[in-house]
Amino acid sequence: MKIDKKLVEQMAELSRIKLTDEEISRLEKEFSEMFEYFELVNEVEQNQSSTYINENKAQLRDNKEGIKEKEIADTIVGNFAQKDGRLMIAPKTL
Amino acid sequence: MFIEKIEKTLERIRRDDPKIGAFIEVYEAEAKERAKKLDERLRAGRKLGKLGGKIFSIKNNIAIKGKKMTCGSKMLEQYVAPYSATVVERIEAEDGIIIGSTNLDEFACGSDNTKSAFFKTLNPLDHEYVPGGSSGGSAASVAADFAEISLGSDTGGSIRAPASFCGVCSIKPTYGLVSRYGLGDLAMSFDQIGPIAKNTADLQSTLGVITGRDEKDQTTTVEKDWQKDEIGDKKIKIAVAEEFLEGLDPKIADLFEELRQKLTEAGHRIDKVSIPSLKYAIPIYYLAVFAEFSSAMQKYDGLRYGNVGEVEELVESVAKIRGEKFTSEVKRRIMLGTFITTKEYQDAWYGKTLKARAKLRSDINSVLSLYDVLLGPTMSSLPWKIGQKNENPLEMYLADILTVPANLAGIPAGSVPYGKIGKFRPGFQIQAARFKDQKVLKLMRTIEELDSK
Amino acid sequence: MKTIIGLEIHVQLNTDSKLFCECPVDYGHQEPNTNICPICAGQIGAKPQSINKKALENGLRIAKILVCKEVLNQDIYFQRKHYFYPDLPSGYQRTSKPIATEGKLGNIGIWEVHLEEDPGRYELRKGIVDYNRSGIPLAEIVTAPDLRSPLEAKEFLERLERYLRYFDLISNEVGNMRVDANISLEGGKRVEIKNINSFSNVEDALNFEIKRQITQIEQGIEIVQETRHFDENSGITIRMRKKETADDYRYVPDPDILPIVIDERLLRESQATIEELPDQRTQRLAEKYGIESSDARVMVIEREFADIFEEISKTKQIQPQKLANWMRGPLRKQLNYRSKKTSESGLRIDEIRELYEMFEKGEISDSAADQILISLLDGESTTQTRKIRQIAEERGLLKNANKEEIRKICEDAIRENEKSVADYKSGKEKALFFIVGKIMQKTKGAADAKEIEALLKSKITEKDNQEKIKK
Repeated sequence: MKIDKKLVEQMAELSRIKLTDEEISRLEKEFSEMFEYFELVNEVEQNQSSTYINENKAQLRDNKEGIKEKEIADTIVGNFAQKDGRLMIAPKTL
Repeated sequence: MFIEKIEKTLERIRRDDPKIGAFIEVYEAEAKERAKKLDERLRAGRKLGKLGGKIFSIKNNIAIKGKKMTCGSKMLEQYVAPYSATVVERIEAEDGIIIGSTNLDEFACGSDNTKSAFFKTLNPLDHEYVPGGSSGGSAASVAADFAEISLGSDTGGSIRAPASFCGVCSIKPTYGLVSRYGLGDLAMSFDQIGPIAKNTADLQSTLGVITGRDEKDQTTTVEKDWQKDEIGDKKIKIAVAEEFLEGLDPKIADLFEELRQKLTEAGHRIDKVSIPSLKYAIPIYYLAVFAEFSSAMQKYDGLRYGNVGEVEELVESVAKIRGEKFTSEVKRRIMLGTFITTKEYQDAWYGKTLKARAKLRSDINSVLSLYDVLLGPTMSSLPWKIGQKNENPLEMYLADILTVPANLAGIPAGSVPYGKIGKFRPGFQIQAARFKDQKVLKLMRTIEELDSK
Repeated sequence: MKTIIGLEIHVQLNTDSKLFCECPVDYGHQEPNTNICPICAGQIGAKPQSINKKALENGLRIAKILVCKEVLNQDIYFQRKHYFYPDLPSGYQRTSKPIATEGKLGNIGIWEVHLEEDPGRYELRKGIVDYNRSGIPLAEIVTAPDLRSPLEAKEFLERLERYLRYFDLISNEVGNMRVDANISLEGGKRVEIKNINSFSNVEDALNFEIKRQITQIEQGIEIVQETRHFDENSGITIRMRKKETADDYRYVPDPDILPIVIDERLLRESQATIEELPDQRTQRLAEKYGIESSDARVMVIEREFADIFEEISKTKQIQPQKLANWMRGPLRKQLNYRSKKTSESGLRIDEIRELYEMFEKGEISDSAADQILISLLDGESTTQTRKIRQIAEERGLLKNANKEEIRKICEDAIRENEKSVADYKSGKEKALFFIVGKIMQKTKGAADAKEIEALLKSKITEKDNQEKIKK
């Protein structure tokens, strides 16, 4: 698989990661090498069995309300980068 | 008296850890407080829990309520865990004492602990060498006697590799045996929490406490009788895959040969087998891990987990924060994982990877249906010097060749040291079928005994 | 120009706890970010719990209403739909593969029904986020592009809403139903309008969008495939930045969630409650009880409400039309005022029957009936059977018991308001109402205004006559 600068930039955009020019050219080289090696997966005989390790099925949970733990909610709010009272601040988009 | 034991341990940490760098944070006051309480309870004639007074360190990607949970990343430098992981709750309920949280490669992405965003952890056996990773701080804390037991996490060898490099024991339990609730995600269908300790008895007692169904992790299962010793007095049927011995450090190969002879002399049966699909383990493992990791990392947009920079708008600012706060290995994995799960490339890459994983799993399982365990070295090399393997990511990935198959198959795998090469005591790996963790521990004990003779 | 419209409808399912955690689901009246836990707030290391059974059951009930084929005895995975947005704490939304496909409502095709979790609330203009809503179970209903006009879309949604409310399948919160609409004019590209926050806005949004597209075409500007946002305040659709709308959701199965399997038993048990559909019942009520169809329609707003009507209508001597009038009027008014569903109002059929009978027989006035209703709705305990007659007696609301007293009050009032009486006699009708008002105040509504009016008139005439005789 051919990895070029444009593809690396596309990957960075989709991943929402800003890269420096130096990083882009380094990754271009690294990714090319990796994908060349990763092509190996194409050699594996395809197995149609479940792709899941855990073959259990979901249990269904009773529709009951749990105990509200205010301390936990408070710590979650405390971790917000910016807040207004208990509200989290995010950029305005309109 | 537990308080004396804690004081002595804290003293050792104060003296040696500034060099080794095993801990991200030491909970001195809490540990002392807890030790005093346990002492009081003993004086009052009351019994303690199954882990009464055992000193634990916890990898810093496992949540402890009210404590910083950094996952070794600048992105979470200020994040405080609002809750405790199920394993932490269970250890505390059985009177274990948590002494601190340990260093790791950022988001557990690494094999030698040089990729922590904060500082490097050194190998207590020789400070010029890496301790292995990603649970390097955990293994180092045990090897340096800062803790009796450490909880690490293992996605592709992250507790077995450092255990092997630091000369201690560890087991990655069967996927689903231990709750992951409270474990920061690397790859959700691979990750498993497991103990690292100086002896297998401590591994056994810890497993007895941390395993079991948890409503908060629906992938946990209760397999009846998993604690039963199925082998008993019988001899162990051991398989060695010839692929395990390819490219092995000759000194480790010699030790392994010695171990093999001793086991044979003791009457155990050892057969050589071949699992040709093992040669695909690394690409399958990394592709699948990248995909799951990129999904797990979506949540980091700079808004919720501590102030890591100003988010003025939702595209460029977020990209800037992610670009600055993640180190290169994490960025690499996110980008590759994102790429192979896009609509355009998903079938060609991720889809094929999942099917290849299923194939490898069934190949391993068919060997394990004929033998009790698979035996081989844990790492194909001795620890390397710090900085020696930084340049080429692929070279680093290849170091995991022996440990990733267990996570690909969701089977238990333990590492136990045997013999000595210079300052190091390399680990040997034992794997068994799903929920046959006791078979792993059985052979680990056997080797432990042989090693002490 | 031919208009082609397809809808993706998100409805909040009626449950007590969230889809993957046990947090409560009310968010309208809660302090922000209080109904949250590590799971629904995307905290590091948290994992989803097993899914809420009632959410799946309600999803299956919707499938039955929409005559879908349920996906039986197969693994149904939850997938992660990835996009970066502040209301999505994990950076992906957990969304199931279809639980049912190929249905219809009227002549509109239904492509699929699946379950997913609601994101938090992000107010774009203010830049604030509240995660109380995050994790509430949603059903997404995807229609075929069978709708041909904004009006038809509106009528379809109204019907759907009627059905879902009738069977009590959806939450009662503001913003419990949201729509993404896909619209294209014949030959043109498809435009998606996201997050229309109520059914009533759908028609407006679509009408605006049609006008916008026609204007563009007339100006020779090509319509491009894009995503637009409906702005409630200005009533217009706004183009969303391409970078903000993920063009690749990278759907992958969620490794933390085991697949769900719908078996026959679960299907049977959950769908047993879905029998007669509301439109059928409306028709039946109108025919069987001879009530106006507009009234019948109000009776079947909720199933429990219609049940009350039918049950009381069975009582001898009760005229269904009169009952319907009362239920549609005072009873509905009190429920609506409190935004209460009948099922959660605590009202019982026997109570309402007794209340209505007393009102119907004239034992209590309409305002007394209102007062009793209010005390039933706002009263504390509903675990014991409440005796309506007892309440009426305790509060002195019984008309007959008070006849003597009221007569006395009237006599007193005539004596005390000589001027008004004189005014009335001189032909000022309004003067009488002044006295009626005073009496109503005194009796706290137990008396009936019309009766008092009549009583006063007769007393005044009586008094007049007596005086005349004296003379």
